[in-house]
Amino acid sequence: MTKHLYSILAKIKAPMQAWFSVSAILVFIGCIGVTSFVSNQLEVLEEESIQYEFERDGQQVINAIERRLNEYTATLLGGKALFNASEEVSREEWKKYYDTLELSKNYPGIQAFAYSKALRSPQEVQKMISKIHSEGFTDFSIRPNPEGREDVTAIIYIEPLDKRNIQAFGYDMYSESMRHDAMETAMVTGIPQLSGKVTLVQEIDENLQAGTLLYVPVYENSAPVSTDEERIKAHIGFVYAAFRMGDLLTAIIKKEGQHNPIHFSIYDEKVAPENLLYDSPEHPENHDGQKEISETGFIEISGRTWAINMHANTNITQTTHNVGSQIALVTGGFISILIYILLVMTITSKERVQKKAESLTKEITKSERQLKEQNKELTAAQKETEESLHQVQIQSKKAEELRKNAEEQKKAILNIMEDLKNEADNTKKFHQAVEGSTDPIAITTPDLKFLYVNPAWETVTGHDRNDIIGKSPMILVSDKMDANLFSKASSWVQHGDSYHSDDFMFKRKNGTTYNVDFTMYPIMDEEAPVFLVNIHHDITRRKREEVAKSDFVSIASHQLRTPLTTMRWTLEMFRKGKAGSITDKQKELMNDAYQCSLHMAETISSMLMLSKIEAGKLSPQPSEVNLQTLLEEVKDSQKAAHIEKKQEIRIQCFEDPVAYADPALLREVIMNLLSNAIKYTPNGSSISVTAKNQANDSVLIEVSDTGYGIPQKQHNQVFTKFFRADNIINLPESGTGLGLHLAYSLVELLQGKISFLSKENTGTTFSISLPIPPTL
Amino acid sequence: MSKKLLIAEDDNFLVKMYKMNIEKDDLDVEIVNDGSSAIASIEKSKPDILLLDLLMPKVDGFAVLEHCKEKKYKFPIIVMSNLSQEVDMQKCKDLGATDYFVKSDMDLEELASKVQKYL
Repeated sequence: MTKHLYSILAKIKAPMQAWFSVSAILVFIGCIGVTSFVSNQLEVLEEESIQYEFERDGQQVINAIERRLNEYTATLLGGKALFNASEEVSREEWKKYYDTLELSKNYPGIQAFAYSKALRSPQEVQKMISKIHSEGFTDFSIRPNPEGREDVTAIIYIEPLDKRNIQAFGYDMYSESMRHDAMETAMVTGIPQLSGKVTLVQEIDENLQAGTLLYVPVYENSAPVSTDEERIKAHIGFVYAAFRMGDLLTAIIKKEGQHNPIHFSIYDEKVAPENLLYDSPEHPENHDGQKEISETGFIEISGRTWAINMHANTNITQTTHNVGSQIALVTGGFISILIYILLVMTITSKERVQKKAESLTKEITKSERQLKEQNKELTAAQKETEESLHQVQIQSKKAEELRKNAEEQKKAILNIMEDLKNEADNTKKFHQAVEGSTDPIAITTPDLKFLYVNPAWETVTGHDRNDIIGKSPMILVSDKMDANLFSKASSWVQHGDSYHSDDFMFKRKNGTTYNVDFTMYPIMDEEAPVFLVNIHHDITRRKREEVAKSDFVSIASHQLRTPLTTMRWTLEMFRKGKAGSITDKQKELMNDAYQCSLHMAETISSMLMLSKIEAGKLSPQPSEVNLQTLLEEVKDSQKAAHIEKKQEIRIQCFEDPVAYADPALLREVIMNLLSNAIKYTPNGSSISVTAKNQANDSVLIEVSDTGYGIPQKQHNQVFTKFFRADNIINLPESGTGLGLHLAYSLVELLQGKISFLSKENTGTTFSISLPIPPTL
Repeated sequence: MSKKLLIAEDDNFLVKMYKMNIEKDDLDVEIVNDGSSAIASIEKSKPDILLLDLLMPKVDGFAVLEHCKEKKYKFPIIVMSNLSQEVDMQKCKDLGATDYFVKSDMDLEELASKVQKYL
């Protein structure tokens, strides 16, 4: 091209005035102006593109730092969860957690992963020192000397236990104000807190780096922590991480996989030399006069702000983005010169030139075409550059949105992961609990098909779980139980209630049977059960014992009564003179012996009944009881006693009261009360028995005497077994001490209430209130 | 003609008591010591009243009740036992016993009046 131009210029023999023609010069200047404008515009675009790349790279650095610190916070929260999950975390458990995280592999750059315990008193301090000594760390001490300081903390677990971290073992971080401030904020707010710039005690060599610490407070397991005061009270220590800034940032940048072309410095809170946390290494090339870009960004991390000052180093501005403007400048200049020459030639001689011009024009036209095309290409390239720049901007916007989304998603995932971890822990615990239960547990569908059985179920029934899943529990039903009980149970639990019965009798795979205490409860989904949990318990032994006990009491009382009958009847014969005449003295003694035999018969009956109540063998058979009739009958049965004591017994019934109770048991209750009233009321006094309906669907029966009464201080013992009042011990009346206890137990069995009012030497009134079912 | 009172009781002391207190001129009292003798006596000649203990050797009182129920005998049977459980009483009632008494809870006088009542 240049050679071509020279040959053209050589052919031009233009006079000097033509070269200095004003119009030609003006046109030339205009052309040059346009060219430089275009070139400038291109340069501005290129610079914008560079600025954009710079910002993008800087944002990458910020994101990486932010991301990594968030990850550390999550692992610390995991450490905290470890403390929340158990009463105490041992050194081994802490180490195990640290090892599991594989921090050095997954998140390098952390110096220490540790636990610092709050020690609230000199005693606690001493206890902790002795404890750690006993673990074999005989050199352990708390530094600086905790004497005289009220709040003391000590780093008791620290991982990895290398030569740097051993320096921190036992260090009281409360003793240094920067650490103390961060720890206190974390403790009071309950959220993770990053410290300001510190020099770690781990700094043991010349390669001194700035440090920072990230604290997560740990509270007592069950203590409330919703207010500042509660948190301060419940606080027990800190899970924390220590970072050497140099190591941390090197690791983060390395993780990013490439050398970031940006030089950056990190400052704690604001850009100031004393706050410098980290300064990335400069590139060796010198600045060669190109324009330098710089910017300051801020990161908020766990309650702390870091200022990040970034500037592009020389690499970035040396890129070849400005080729476009250079091409524009050269080609533009070339065109300007050609136009200028053309004008000069035109001005010099139209004719002379004409011929030559013809051929020149041809060539020029050709060149011009070429130039035009070049220009066109250039414009197209320019457009393309603009277009792609625009595209890049759109893409970067999209990328930014995506990054934001990803960030949010990551946060959500971290939360979910933590929840899942807790849930997984719980599920695991529940699974272990069910698997480890010694009681057989089965889970069935609502229509009674086995979904799951635990190992105890397999052991007890002899069935293999693989054989019975999907089958019906009816395989367990022996012919000694009511086969309908299972369907009865499953319909019972349809609305969320649980079912319980000890009437089940299961058969094992080998055909042997066993008594079962059976519980079924539903796991509900909205309104209907989704699963039924079946728990059964082998009670064969208990049932056998119950039968044996009941048989024993029954036989024992029979065997006691038989000789007693002979004694009673013999004494009766003496008293009545049927065994020949005896002296008055003898008669009196026989009478005493006869009374004792009655007493003994009474005791045997009461004990038998109590043993049945206690064994749950006495089930009331309620029916309507006319109280007038019942009271008269009871009075009649005590006739001999009250006539002998010349007492008047008045029975008063209002409005024909009717109770709904087991007549035999109710009779027993009233008999006991009346018998007591007779015994403990002096000769010739009166006793009244009344019955009436009450407003609250119940009947009230009262037995009132005018006797010795019960001493106030013994009122709380009246219904206990073998109770006898102090003021009647020396009376000739004999008592078993079982009557009131029996009455109380029976009234309870009848679902009624018994109470009394008593005053010594005035009398006692016992009141029984029995409910009447609304259907009557 | 004197009436026949059959007493089935295995305890000799009680047998003595019954003899001393129930025997009367117009009453033919026969005492047996177990259930099988009671059944034999019943089959020989029906008593006008039977006083029956429950726990006896070989054949017990329940078996005697069963036998009488099976044969549809109509004479009154008074069960005199020291078993006092509701189940035992109910079982006797179901087997046709006329009355049920717990021996240790009653006086001889009461017993005499009961016998008189059912004669």
